[in-house]
Amino acid sequence: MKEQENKELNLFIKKAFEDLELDEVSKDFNRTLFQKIEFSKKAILSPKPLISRLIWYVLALFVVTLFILGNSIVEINEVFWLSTLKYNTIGNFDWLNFDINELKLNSSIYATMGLTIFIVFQVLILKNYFAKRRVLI
Amino acid sequence: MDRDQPLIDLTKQGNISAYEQLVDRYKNMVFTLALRLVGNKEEAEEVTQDTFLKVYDAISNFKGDSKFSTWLYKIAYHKSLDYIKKIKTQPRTNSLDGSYELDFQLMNETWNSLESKEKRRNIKKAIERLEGEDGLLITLFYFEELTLKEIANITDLEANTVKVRLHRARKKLALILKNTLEPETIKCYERAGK
Repeated sequence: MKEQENKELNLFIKKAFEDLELDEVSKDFNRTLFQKIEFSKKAILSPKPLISRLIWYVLALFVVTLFILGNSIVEINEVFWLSTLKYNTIGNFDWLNFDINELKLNSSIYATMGLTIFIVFQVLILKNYFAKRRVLI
Repeated sequence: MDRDQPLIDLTKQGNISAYEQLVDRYKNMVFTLALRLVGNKEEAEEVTQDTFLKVYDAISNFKGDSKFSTWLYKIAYHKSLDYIKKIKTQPRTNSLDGSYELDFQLMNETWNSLESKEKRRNIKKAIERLEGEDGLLITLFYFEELTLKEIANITDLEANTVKVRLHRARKKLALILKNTLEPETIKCYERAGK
């Protein structure tokens, strides 16, 4: 009896659904959707760099200059202007009067110096960036 | 081979017009399902947009373990639930009056006597009156003709639970239709008496 009732119920609902039509989205649905997709694609594909291209070029130029000038000055001129400076003329700074010529400057030291400058620079910028967004690191 | 697969492959390669074809194929169904849950056209459209955005982002992860439509409806279902949670609306509930005794012969006769337009209006209104997820389940089962297993996959329910809920929803829908059709039934009797 119950089985028959279920069968009839099922058939009736099936018949009723034959006339059902889907609800339709608004006419500008696709336009809005694909605008959103384009926007999200751009946001993913071209993130704003933390350090602009110009700053990278300036930094690179600075490091290259440091290498070239540093090498040529130290190797060609025996008396480097920095080594002639007397720091004790502005007070009791005798400890600053070290002889720069005693330092063995080679390309490894310059590379380390350059790398340190890059890292310090990036740390400052990154710290500033995350602080603005209140992200704890 | 699944008819959606070529379009899915092209979308994965970045072909946006292929994705537009997929959107056109499924947007009204996704919208209807969202509407069953959120109950408002503007909000349902927002959910539908979110669904297709999510699908576009995640399509590279679609491995084809299930039908594309099932995967899409699952995302739409969860997006709708998220939306309901976000705006903290209560699921729609309706109290149904009237006896559960249904005279299917009379109901069938009355239904057949209706114009197509009237039938469409009546069934649509009746589904709108179903509460919670009943409208969604019944649409997936009778309109989209999905299996209990597929519906269970979409809703993360057990197939048996889906079966029980569907039975309940089916009865409620029939009762709503019976109440809606009663004035028509009277007209039928009047016509028969003349």
